[in-house]
Amino acid sequence: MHFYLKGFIHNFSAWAIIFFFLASPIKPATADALLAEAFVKDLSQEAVSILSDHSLTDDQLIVKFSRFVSHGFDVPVVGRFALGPYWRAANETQKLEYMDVFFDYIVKTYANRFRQYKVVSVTVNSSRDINNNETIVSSLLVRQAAESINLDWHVRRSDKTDTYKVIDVLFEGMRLGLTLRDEFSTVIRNGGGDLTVLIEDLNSRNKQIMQR
Amino acid sequence: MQNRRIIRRSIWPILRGYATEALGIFESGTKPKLIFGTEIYFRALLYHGLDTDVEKLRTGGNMINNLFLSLSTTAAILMCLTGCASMPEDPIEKEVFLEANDPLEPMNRAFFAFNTGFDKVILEPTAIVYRKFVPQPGRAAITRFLHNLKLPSTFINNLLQLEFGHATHTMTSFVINSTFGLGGIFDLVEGDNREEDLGQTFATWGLNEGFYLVIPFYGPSNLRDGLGLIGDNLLDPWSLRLNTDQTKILKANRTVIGAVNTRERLIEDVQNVRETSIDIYAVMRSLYRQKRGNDIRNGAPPPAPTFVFE
Repeated sequence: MHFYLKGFIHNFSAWAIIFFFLASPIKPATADALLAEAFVKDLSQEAVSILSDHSLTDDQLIVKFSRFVSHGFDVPVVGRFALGPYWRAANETQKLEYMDVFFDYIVKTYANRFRQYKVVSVTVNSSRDINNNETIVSSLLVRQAAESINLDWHVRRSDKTDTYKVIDVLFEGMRLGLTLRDEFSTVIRNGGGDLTVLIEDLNSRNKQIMQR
Repeated sequence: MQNRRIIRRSIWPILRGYATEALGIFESGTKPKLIFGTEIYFRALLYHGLDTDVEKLRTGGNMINNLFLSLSTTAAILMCLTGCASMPEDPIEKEVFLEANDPLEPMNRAFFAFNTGFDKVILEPTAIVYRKFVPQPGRAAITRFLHNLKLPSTFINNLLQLEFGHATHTMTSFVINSTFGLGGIFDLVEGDNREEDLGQTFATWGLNEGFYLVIPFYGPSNLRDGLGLIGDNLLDPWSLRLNTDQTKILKANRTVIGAVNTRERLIEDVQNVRETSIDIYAVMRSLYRQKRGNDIRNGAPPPAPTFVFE
């Protein structure tokens, strides 16, 4: 009798331990979301401080902003997504060349655009988890003498390095990545399915932005 | 409810199966010699049968959609006679073609060029002048006034969407703002002030968006929203009442002021898109589609994208 009871207790505690591990979330979602929010908060503050620093020359701004972009954004992921099915068809040289031009394009376009927006501050409002390591953080761009803009940041946590990177942004619910993908694939398709057409177009666009 | 969902999910793949089979015949070497019209009909039919969008798959496949399919096919035939991009052979090209959902691209681009010209010569300059002479509070009041005029048709669409809660809100806003708010110049009722139209109603009934369409003078649309636009015009209580000569002038004024007022708010955004894009037409198409998606979901977050690259 005594033996049996001991066995039961033993068994019960074993079950309790298993149950405890099953019931407790392996990764607490709230803590994760908070980390993502903190990441976006830091990132947006950095962006505002770079873009509102009017003592910088255009070249200095580009250098600073490109450092900021490569630190906070997963540009290869954005670039690959933007190319759509054509990524598969491209050869290695084209891929490298494209990524190079794409990075420049993103930096110049968005340094320019955000400066025009005259963002005073960014307030992070809320966030929601999409899956284990992807979160969408919602924020509000407060502008000087203009309506505020809803900007959402789609961030992904890397399991390897345990750091966050932005993989897409949504202006008023419209995805930058998807818009680029629609645009780029149309450009390539109308250029006869050749990626070099897009690379040339991006190159000339980059030069134009520099001249302004 | 659950059953309906299951039926939806099972019928649509079957329909898709037929379409894919038909495509096989169409694409194999034994391609039948079809006369011009029939070939276009086939193409349009296949094109709609092969919709690969997951969101559309979820909502598609009911009776209304089948009706819509035949309607849209007929429309496609009519419009293909004026300019239709053909389905490419290459698998990657085909994927991109289907993703763009724009079989009338040549015609649409022509209309888009026309609209851009109209905008640059008339609409944008007018909007700039309007911004210069009407101060921000005045413009905001005009926006609220025009918004208030749209509430009756929003109310009808609320009912058609079975959103009775929002219908009540819409009616309350309309009554209070029209009276105490001096015709809507002041917005006294707080809450969700979204506008609903027939295109959105069709979408909640499960209709696909159909192919992309650029309407002269109006701008980006698609088959569903284009049909909705016609219906909205018929449903709008103001249209029913405003049929004398005098009121026709009022209605025309409302359209013109509405266009200029909207354009004024978009001056910077359009400028931005024009400066940074390589293909403005494709960007506008993408933005319109995403914007409508947001309107249909009433601002709820878009479906989580899958970052699949290959």
